[in-house]
Amino acid sequence: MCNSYLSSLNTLLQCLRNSLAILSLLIIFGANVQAETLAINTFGAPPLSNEQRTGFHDQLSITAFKRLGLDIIIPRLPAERALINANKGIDDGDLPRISGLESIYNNLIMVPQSIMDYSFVAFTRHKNFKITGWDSLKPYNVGIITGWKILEKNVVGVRSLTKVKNQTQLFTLLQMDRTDVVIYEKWQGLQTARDMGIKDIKILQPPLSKRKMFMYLNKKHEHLVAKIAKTLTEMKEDGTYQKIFDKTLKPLNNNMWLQPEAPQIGKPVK
Amino acid sequence: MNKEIQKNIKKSIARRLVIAVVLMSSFITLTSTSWQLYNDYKHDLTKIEGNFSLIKNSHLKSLINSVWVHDTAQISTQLEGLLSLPDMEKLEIVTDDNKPWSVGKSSSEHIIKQSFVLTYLYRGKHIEIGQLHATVSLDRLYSRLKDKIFTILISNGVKTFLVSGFVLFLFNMLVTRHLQKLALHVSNINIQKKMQPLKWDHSGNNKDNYDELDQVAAAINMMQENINKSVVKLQESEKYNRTLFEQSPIGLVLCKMNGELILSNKAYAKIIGCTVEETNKLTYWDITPKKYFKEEEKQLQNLISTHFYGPYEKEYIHKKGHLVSVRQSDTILQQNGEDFIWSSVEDVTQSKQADEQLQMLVNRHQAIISTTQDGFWVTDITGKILEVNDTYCFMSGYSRDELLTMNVSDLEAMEFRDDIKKNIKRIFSHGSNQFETSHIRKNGELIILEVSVSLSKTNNESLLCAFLRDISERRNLEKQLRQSQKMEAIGTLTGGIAHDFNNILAIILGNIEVAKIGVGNSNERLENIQNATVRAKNLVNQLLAFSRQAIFKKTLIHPTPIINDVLKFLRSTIPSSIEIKTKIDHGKGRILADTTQLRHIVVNLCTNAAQAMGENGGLLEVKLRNISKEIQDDEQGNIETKDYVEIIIKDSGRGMTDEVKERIFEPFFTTQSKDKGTGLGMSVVHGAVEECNGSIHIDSKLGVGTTITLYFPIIDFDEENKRDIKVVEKTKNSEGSILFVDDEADLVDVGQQMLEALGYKVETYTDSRKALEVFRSNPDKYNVVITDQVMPYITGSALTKEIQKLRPEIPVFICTGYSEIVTENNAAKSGFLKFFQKPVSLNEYATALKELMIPQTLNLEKNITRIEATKKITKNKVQENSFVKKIQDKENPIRILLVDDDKLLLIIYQKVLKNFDNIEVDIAYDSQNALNKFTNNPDKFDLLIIDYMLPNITGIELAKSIIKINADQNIILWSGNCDNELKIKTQQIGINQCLEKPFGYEDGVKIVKKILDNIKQPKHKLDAKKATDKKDLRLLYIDDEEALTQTVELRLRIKGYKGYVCTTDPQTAIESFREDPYSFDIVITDMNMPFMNGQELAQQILKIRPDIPIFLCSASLDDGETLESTDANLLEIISKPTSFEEIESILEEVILSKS
Repeated sequence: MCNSYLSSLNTLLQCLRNSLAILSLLIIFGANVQAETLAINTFGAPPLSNEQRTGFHDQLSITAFKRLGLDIIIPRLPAERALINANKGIDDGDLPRISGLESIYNNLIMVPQSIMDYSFVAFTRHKNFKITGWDSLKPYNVGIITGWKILEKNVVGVRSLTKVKNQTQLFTLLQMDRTDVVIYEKWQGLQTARDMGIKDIKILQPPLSKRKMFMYLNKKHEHLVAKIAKTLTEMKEDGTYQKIFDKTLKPLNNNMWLQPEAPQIGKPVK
Repeated sequence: MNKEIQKNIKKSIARRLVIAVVLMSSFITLTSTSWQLYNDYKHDLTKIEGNFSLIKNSHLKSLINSVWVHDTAQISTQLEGLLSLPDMEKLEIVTDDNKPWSVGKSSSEHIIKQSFVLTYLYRGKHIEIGQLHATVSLDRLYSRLKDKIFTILISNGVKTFLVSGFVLFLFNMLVTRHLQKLALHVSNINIQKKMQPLKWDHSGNNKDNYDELDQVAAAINMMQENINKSVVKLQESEKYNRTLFEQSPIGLVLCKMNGELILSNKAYAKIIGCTVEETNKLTYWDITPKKYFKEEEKQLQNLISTHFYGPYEKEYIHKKGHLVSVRQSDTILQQNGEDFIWSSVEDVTQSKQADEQLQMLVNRHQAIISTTQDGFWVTDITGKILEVNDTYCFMSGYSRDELLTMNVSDLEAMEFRDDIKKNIKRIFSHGSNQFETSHIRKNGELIILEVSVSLSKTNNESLLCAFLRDISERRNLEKQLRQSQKMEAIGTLTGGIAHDFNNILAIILGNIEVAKIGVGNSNERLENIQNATVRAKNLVNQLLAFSRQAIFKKTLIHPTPIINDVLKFLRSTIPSSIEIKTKIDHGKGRILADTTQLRHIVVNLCTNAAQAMGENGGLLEVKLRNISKEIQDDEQGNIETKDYVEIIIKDSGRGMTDEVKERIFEPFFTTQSKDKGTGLGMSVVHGAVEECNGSIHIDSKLGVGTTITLYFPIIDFDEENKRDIKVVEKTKNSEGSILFVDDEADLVDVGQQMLEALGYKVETYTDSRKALEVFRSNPDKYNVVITDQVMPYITGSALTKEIQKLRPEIPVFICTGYSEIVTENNAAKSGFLKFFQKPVSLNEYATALKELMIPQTLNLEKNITRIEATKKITKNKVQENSFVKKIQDKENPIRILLVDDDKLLLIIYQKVLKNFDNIEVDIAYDSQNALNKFTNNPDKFDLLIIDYMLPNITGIELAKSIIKINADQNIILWSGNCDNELKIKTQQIGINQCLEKPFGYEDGVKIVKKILDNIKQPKHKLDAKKATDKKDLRLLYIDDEEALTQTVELRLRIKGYKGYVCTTDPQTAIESFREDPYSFDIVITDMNMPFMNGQELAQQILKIRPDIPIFLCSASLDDGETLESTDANLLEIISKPTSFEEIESILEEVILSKS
């Protein structure tokens, strides 16, 4: 009897010892497999991205990568620099970008699930006309930000075209009535106007152009591309995406007499 | 003048100055221009560098930001701004995404390109985002420099030429014109005239303007004044020198290197008998005799190399033709770059003559000093030797150099030093002194000197000149003279007594013998008296021997066997505690001495030595050897080497004091007790040694021992032969009548009785005149004359002379007590047949007369004392007869090959052999040569005479080789030492004979005769001849009893026997036998002989030739004497023959046995 106790005690101690050993190994292993921190840069301005990483893109990308067990930092760079850095591997990825850039930047792979739609809209304070295409801008003094390829390409033949460095200058032009219309991305334009306290601003409808925007990863993270795409899909499907939209962008619509469109859940691009 | 000076100026200083200034200015211009341009260039480059720095420091940061945000417009704006920087040609940014921004265009050839890396700090890292390339053009920089260069050059050029012109002007004004004036002034200077002072145009009396030119003028004026003074002094000096030159008593001459005389003074001209003008037209070679030309050439070379030569002596040719002796010194002078010879010449004719006379005088004195037989020295007053001649060096044994470092006191013997002080005092007081002293030679010996010293005062210096004569020899001779005078006195005394004493003894002895005839031999009293008389006779003989007046029979003997015999004899008489060590060399030297005397000498000396060692014993050493000694020939003073037999008798006895040594030869001086010694021993030895022309040396140290060395001159055969012995043939009748002459009546009486007792008819006379008269009246009446020598009126020799005028053949006996005129040695010369020393015994008369009375015609030698020599001569005569027969065969000459390496000897032998008409001689100096000659024609030579000691191939080996070729070849081997061993060896090889090498011409002739006698005999057949008659037998007869031996020899000769040898000395017999063993057929020897008995002799002879019959004669055969060895059949013992007839019967017996 006594012997069977002793034997049981021994077995117990043995199990305990084994468990401790396994635990130790797990601790050591866990320390070694710390989550990789990736740099997914962006040229987006608030509300898409901000210093506090509370912008739409910030939250979206953080969440997505987190689901894959990865931490990210989000350097905020000029648009061209962001691309160059991601392409050269200085950073691990870039967003938001239109599709097809991999043909130019050979080291970049697009994550085939859009993160949002970019709407290039015309902001105005005093004009009110219906947008019928790019040509509908021609009678107006238009302001754009240098480097926006889609704008530089399409905004031609307008009354006057003022190119400025940033959205602040752009909206300052509008604020100071130096232009009739400024063309900019909708959400960022709204944020800028809000930040600048421009209250009488309005968005002429419909948007001049809409583009699906994607995340790009450097080739070295090719294995993550599918995973991220899947994660994004899952986020859109499980409402996470909407929650983030609601939290970050939606409030901007409140100040606007023109209701912004709700985000659409797209399918991964193949 | 001024123009002329101007004309001569080819390049003015001003012009050269201007050129120099222009050149220098141009150089400076170019240099400064280059420097300036370079600085500008550097400045521009610095500016460009500054621009680059500006871009880097100021613009690059904003440009990086622009590139970072990719702000193309901003970038373009910034680049455009930078392009506006000076000389900036192109700016280009190349980014990391290969998007270049570029402004400007690079078209210049010369550019500077600078690149800047654009980095941006992103996420804590510096990221390279591109590069900025800035290009700056240098073309505009170079263009600016080109524009500047002409401006700088032109401005500098103008400036330079203006300065040069001004400098030229100034220089002309300040310097050139003054220099021209200075030149003009200096060129007008004439040192013969007074010089004007130099003054410049510009200078007045204003001292404020005094400048360098005034200083120059002052210096020149001062110089002019100095020159004026110097010129005056120079002129005075020249005048003075000229006077010195011309008036100098020394000849002075200056000539060119080719000998041309340029300048000479009166003295020089006078030397060669010319005037100065005549001299200056001559050359050096005109006045130099041709015999000096070669020497002069050498001197000229020396002169050229050393620039100075002389003084040396030479001769000049005088104008009158005779030569003038001069002493000349030369030196080289240079004038205007040309070399001249400056000579000072002095006529030394007179001084040379004076020197020669002086030298002659010095040489004469030197010759006197050096050739004088006396030593000579000069010392200072302290005794230090300053000069010494060779004679003294020889005397003292010191070298001249050694003596010159010595003081007289170093040489003085210690015992004379006190005397020397007195003698020196006397020299100083009297000016000279003569005294005797003794000096110590270098080897420690003392020499006695007679010294004559003179004090010489010259030149305030006092010197002592001494002549030193070595009188050691004189003193020694004086000592010897004293000794010899002493000896002579003793001798004279002895001689005086001896004559009368011997006469007395003769009377006594004669009467005793007559009495004995009367009363019979058994009378004991008479015997005692006779014995005493004989002892007295011997004593007289010893005394005479001591005074060298005894009569001994000197013969040529080998001392070796005699000494050996003596030593054997001595061994039994000397105590056994004395060890006798002998070293007797078997030399071939023979001496002329009396055998008995020599024995006596050695026995005496050895006995003395033994006595000196006493009963304690010691070591007695006896040595004999042949040596060569240098002796001085008294007549010519030459040193010549002579051979001697040296006999050394050395003992380890008590030695002698100097006193004993000095008196040792004195008669009756003895250190022994009276009963042990007579004191005559050493005296007799002394006399005997001198009798043999020998010398005796004594070296004795007290407590160490005594060494006595005897030297006897070796007499060769040649010398012996000089003592020619005349053989006079005399006839004798048989009547037996004797004429007896003696001034002593008693002697006449006893002589008559003795001779009549022998059966002769005797006529006696005491007056020699009467005797002569009687003889003249009937010369043929007498068969023999016996005469005394010392007689009143007519001496014995005079009587003999007169008698022999009437009958030259009559035998005359001299019978003397003692005579200095007639001795045994010269008796024959005086015509005496026999010499008797009184007292003469009956036996002596009987023996001598017995032979003479035989009625035969005899060949007699007058001097029968020279027995040994006579034997040899007779033997040779016999051999010569047979030889003569052989050489008469002239058609068949005898051919001889002589082989000897001694060329001189060969020449002598050749000469010897050429005396014989039928001998042909060939010679060879070595074995190989001889072998070649023999091999060429083996039958050519009848005889080969080969020296034993030949180089390379010995005579024996040569003989072997020849015998191999021709076994019957006659070969004679001769050797310096032909001993038994060699003889046996030669016989084994097949050599005919081994002979002692001849050592002289006569000896050579003798040996050749002997050889030729045997040459025709068959080889190996040199055995005893088959004698058919007893007279053909060649007898060797030995008996120590001299009378018997003489009798036998005489009888042999009378009876016509040939080839016999009779001797009293066994050793001589053995040597004769060894010389040619086959020259004898029979040996008869006495048994009892001193030193070597008959049996020992026989054994030795049988060793040499075992087949020879030997007869041993013993007087006491009945006493049971037997032979120790009878292994030789031919050895027989017979009873001693008492008459010659018995000997003849033995010879007949031998003939019978041989047949």
